[in-house]
Amino acid sequence: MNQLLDRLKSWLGPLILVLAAAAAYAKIFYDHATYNPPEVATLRLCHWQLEPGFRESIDELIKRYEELYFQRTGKRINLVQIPINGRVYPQYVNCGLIGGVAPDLIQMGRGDTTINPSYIARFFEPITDPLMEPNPYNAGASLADVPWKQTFFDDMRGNYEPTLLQYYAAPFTRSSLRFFYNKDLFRTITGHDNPPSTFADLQEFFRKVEAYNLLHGARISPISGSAYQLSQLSQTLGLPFRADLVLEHDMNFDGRVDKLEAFLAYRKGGWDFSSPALEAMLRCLTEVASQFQPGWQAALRDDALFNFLQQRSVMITSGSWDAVVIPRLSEGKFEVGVFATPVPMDHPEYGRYVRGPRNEAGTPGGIGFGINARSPHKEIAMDFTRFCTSQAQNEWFCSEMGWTPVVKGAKASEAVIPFQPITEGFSGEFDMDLSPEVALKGGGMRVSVIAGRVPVEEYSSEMNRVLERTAEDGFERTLQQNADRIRNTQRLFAGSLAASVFCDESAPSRKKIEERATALLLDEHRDAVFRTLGAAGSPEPAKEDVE
Amino acid sequence: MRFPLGIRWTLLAFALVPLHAAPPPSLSEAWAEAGLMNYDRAIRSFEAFVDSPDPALRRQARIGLALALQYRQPDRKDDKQRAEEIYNALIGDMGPTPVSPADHLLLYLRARMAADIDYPGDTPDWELADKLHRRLMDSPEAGLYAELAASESALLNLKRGDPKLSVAMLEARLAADADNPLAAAQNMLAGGTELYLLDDPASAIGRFRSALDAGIPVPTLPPSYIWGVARLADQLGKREVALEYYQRILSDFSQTLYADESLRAVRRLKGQTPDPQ
Repeated sequence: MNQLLDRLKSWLGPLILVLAAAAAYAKIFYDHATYNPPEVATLRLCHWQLEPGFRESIDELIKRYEELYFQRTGKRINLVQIPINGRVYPQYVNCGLIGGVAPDLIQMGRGDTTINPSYIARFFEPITDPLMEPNPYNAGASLADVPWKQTFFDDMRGNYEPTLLQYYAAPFTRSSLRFFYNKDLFRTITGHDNPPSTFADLQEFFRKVEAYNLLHGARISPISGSAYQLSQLSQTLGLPFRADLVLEHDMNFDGRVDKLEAFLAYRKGGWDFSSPALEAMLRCLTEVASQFQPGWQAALRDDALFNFLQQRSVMITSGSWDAVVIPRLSEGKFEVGVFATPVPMDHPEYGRYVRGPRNEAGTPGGIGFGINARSPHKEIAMDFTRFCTSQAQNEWFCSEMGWTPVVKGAKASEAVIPFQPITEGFSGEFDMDLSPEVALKGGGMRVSVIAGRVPVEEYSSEMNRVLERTAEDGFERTLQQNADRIRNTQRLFAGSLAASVFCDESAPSRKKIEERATALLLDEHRDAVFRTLGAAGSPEPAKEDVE
Repeated sequence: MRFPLGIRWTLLAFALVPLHAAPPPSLSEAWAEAGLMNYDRAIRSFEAFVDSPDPALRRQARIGLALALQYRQPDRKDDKQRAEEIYNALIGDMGPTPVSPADHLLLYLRARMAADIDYPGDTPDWELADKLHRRLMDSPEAGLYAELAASESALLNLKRGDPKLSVAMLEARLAADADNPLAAAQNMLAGGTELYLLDDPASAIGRFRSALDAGIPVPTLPPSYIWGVARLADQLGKREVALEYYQRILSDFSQTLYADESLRAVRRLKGQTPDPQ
């Protein structure tokens, strides 16, 4: 008996190993059979949207589509979503695409391979041609006969890839920035329920919080902030100060002043960092940021949110992507309200430079999925994209998420109404970072100014010195970057021309070639014009330099 | 040097058994790779056909090879010189007048090489580019290529510092055929030169209007050009034109950031006395 036990003991180790290996194999085979069952087309979809509710809503869309696909074709498909943390998403997608193992549908916008046109051309399937046909999933709706492209709020202008002259992803939603506020705390402090609608209201609210703190010995801050929130305020509150500068110096009427236009405007004395509008903008931002909780400069996005949820502050800025998340997180503690950032049109000083809010009409649609060019199931991937961006499904998805729909006629849910894009005012997209030095120095110093550590005038004169020293080099650098981009457009155009001569199947349409030719010629023209204008204003070289 | 027996057998086995049976490349695959800017692969595939007994195939492969070398990154002098030699040889074999689409493509690509700085230290040969452009413009069959050549020639004049000649060239082309496939682009180029370099916004307005009438093929541009016409006309006091184009923004592009400013402008202009013009 003892001998038998000894024998068994000596085999116990290998036995455990064999059993463990068998269990592992069984698990692998089971996972394989369920994840990638034979005879069933499996498609994968990856994204970095980890907000509560997104994965569940995508799962529901997948379930609906799989069922519909089965009814239509009698075949089963298996669509699997792969949520990836935003920090590693670029590596995941870049490696997958280069290694040929990336998912079939990939959320665009993070990682070089989904942003850089050279990579997009290689790895993604354009959806331009399908966009010109009606979306079959709109059958029976008012958009039944409308080309898919024109079913989106902006006819997809915001999702056009301007270098490749193609569309690669159809958006699911569009975002906007707002103030979220604690309604209960707001009422307790102010004695009423009306959120600030003017800048004067906002200032009045700041005073009431101060008085409340003094009276009750409380330490409530009016706004919960961090560098992340400051960047949002810089858009909603800062950009309106630049609208007049854009209107004056936007040479090509595209609603923004880029580095090249800004340089020429700077050189002819149209602006510098001491411009009254820009100094007023900084003063205004400083005034509002002074109402953030102490130490906000070191806080992260989540710290600010945590501070708000703990009711240590009354307000926080965030985007429509949090429309459902923040109320859900505060459920049972306090009620959440939303209002648009009041711009200081009514302010005696700031009001001289602000004609309206930041216009959100030009905000492009977001959360678009590109189709992997190497996917064996491109047709299904395309069809799934059509399904998700049909009027009915977009309405359902966005109402689940509390997001703004992008398809015309899709009704927005109650929760989304405060997030409807503001269509008043003008753009303030004025790129002042004329050189890397300006960007670097300005970025760091701006926070110090807004934190109240550096006077606005000191910042302006220091930045003017940097601008004077580096703007010319920055202009040359931007011209070179543009030349590189034009060379890529030439590459693509030459490829299109050759395909039209030698390839029957992959030949682009005549219209597409004309479009590419026009875009290329305009780019080259712009380059020539800026080089001429840049050279025209350059100081004459000194005699010894010429010699 | 003698290898051990085992290694010798292994080497022999590798020599006898092909590791993978690579499918022969095809020209359509080579073009597809070139279209995706995978020039290394395209070059390998084109090179497999450059000595083909079929003259048409051979010519096509040579054009493809030259194109891939012209645009392969990083831009290296030896690649570009080899491309230039291939182009020159092919153009040398061509008759005085280009007849086929391949001839037109060849001339266009060679002109491009002559006009551009293709590698660090390269100097553009604008005279040669002009000559090649002229051959395309004189070819009755060239169609789009002739218009491309005319537009590129106009741009070369801009680079030479002669914006007036640039506009005149485009004007002549448009006078000859106002409905040519690049009419919108040519109007936009001429208008842009007049606006930015010749200080003639009034003429630029007319060009931009013609471009819009011809149909700007790049879908993101029409709202900007309509807005541009409205703003320029407004600045020049051309009230009726300004009103017409601001209203076009409101009717056709109400979901753009130009809409609110256009609405304000329409209200302002409607409150004024009519334009003296």
